[in-house]
Amino acid sequence: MRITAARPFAAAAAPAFRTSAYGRGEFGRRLARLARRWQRYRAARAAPKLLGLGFGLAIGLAAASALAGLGGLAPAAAGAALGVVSAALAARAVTVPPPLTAALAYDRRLGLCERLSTAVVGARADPAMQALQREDALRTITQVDAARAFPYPVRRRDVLLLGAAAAALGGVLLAAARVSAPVPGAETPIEALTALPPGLAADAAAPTPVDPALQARIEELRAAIAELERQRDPEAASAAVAADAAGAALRRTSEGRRLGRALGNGDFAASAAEARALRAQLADMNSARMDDLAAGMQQASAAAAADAALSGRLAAAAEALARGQLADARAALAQLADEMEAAGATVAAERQTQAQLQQLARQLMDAEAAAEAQPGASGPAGAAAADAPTSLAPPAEARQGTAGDDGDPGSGSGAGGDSDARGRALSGTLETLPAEQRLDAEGRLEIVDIAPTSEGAELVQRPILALGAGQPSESAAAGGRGVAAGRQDVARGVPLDLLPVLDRYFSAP
Amino acid sequence: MTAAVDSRDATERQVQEARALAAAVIEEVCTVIVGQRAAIRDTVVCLIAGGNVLIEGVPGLGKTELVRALGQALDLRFSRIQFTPDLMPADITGTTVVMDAADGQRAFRFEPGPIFANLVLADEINRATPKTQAALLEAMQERQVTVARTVHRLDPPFFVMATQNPIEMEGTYPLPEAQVDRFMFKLTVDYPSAEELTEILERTTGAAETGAGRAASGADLVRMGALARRVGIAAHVARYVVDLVGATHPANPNAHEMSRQYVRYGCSPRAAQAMVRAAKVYALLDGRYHVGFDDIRAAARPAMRHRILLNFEAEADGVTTDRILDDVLITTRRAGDAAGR
Repeated sequence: MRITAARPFAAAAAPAFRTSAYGRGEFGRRLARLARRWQRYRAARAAPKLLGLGFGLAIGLAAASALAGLGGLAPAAAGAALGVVSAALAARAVTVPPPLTAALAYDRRLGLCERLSTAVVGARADPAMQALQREDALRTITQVDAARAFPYPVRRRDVLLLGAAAAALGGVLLAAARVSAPVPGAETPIEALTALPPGLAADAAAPTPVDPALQARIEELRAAIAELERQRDPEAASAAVAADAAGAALRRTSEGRRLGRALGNGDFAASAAEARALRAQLADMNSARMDDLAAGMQQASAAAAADAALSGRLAAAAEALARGQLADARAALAQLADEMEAAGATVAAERQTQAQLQQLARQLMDAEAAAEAQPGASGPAGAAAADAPTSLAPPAEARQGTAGDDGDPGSGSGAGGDSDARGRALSGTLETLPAEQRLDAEGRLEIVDIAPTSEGAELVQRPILALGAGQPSESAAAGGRGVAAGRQDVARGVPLDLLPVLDRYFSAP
Repeated sequence: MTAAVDSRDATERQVQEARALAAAVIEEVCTVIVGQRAAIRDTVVCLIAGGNVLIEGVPGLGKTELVRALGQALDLRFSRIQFTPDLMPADITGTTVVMDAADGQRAFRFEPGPIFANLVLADEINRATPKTQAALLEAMQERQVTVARTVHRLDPPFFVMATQNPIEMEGTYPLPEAQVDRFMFKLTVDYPSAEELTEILERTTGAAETGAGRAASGADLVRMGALARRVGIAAHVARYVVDLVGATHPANPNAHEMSRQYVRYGCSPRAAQAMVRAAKVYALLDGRYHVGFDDIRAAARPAMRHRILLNFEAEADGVTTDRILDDVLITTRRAGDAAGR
């Protein structure tokens, strides 16, 4: 009996790094394939942890870069961290494990009774037994399905965690980008104003005279508007909204449908009358109808949370109705009717104020237009417009536009640097505007003529007014007839305006 | 090349025959013994590996019947020795007597004792005195008996199958360690289940006599033993055997925690030899040409449980060798344990 070993144990257990270590026979080739698959499986198993580590590292590096004021480096740092981890994973996936380790992995996983590992290292046995053992191992290895033995693990939890980590990294990178990105206009320092040519700077600082009578009229209108603004009742809007919501809730009940409809229509007088009618009908209601009405009142109370007084009255009525106490319910419904009448009065007063405000605002706009129509008019008229009611006029800075800066349409208050633009009232419809006319910068129904002047053919480099209030400046190219005022950081936010809400809820049904 | 192929084919054929013979013997014994299939299989494995078996169990579990059935199934010369305190060594080995010859002269002649058989059943071996027990030592290890300075070889195959009763310890003589170590396996026979007991009643209380038929011969047993020795064992599997034995040694750096606490003496090298020899037979009966970890684990408990000497603390805490071995088998790492997960 000759005792031989197919391969020294230490050699079989040593790191392989290349498939030639598995031998050139059929068994070795097959085992090498299995070993590669097993190694990829191990890499896939380790991937969630490693990638999680990589994402954590990337997030930390990106955040540190942003905090250190090096936001521009954040993507590179994150990419480097993820790259290192990915490279480690890839290296792990392609590295060839030792033959004995791979054979043992399949032996243990599939319960092969050490057939493969014994074939790798050889058994202390006579040649016939060894040959039989290797044949047995070869038969076994041909039946091994590596994909079934080591399926790639895909766990939902890991996927979700990695997705969350990726999203977190994206968020950090976005934040870092915002930190590092330049603010529009910020690169032009405010000191640039002082760098204006002496003549232009002087022109920009000097106010242009306007007709005193017109200016007085504008001031008068502004004062009236301000006074009316002070008289406005801020609770009127919330009362209307609450009444509408309560009406919607009550309309869903059979007993409170009429009251709900009146409330929904914004007719507080009719609502009060309906509430009193319900009060009168209470004696004839059975418990089911009262419960129905109580439930409707309760829902209406919850819906009318915007108006604390109305909500409280509704809640009191609901509670009294739920208890079934007629006297309390009558009293509560009477108080509810009174509250509705009071709310109606408030809303009516507010409507009147709004109407006056709209009228004054139109007058103010006309006055401003007249002031702007004067040759060389600027500044004060535009500044006066800033005080107009916010519901009708856009913010002052929005009216100043960017005429001539970048080719955008000029504002109503300023002529383009290379054009002699003047605003006037629209006559006709938008569709009938000729090609040389356009709407003003705010989109109002006011047309602006575009009439290039012969003197303005020469392009002149003008300084850009930076942050801060618009500074008027006379354009040299416009021959002293126009003034360009602009700023780059024009606010594009929609001003808070309650008028559309009021119009919606208090207009005719 | 042709010779190698022939040898390989012959070996494959022998392995298949051995599997069939062993399976037949086990099935034949199972026709007599109800249940206890694991004990029967382990006993057959021990016989094929050429080892002696110590069977422990309370009275009435069929230990003696098992040995008798094995003797019938293997067609072996069978002798039974009932060990009692007054049993003398000569009652086992035999003695020299004076005989009258035909010519009128007298001469000494050796009269063999019951040890001269293929399968010796030493029933309740712990009831005999140590001197008598020691009479078995030479026979078990050397397969020979020395009487009056004359060495008498025992015919192969020779097996000693001893039984002992774990209860009624009064008036008994626990086997000395040297003798216990000579048993390859120590098997424990447990109570039968309800179904098995019902089957026992049906088989043994009727008119029909049950007995095992011949399934193999002593020569078959010897050939199977020789074939089993040719089964290969890889280095990493042999290393596992070494680790298991080392884990039972309290002074070993890799000793199991329970071994450090409860074991006075761990397993001897005979335990490792017994494990590998038995594991080879397990592999052979499984149709394999090499030993696997599971073969070693199957042989570990019967081969090691009687070779561990517990200390007083273990007896005080009620810790048994089986419990220690369970822990050792759980915690001792095998090559590839981490890779297969």
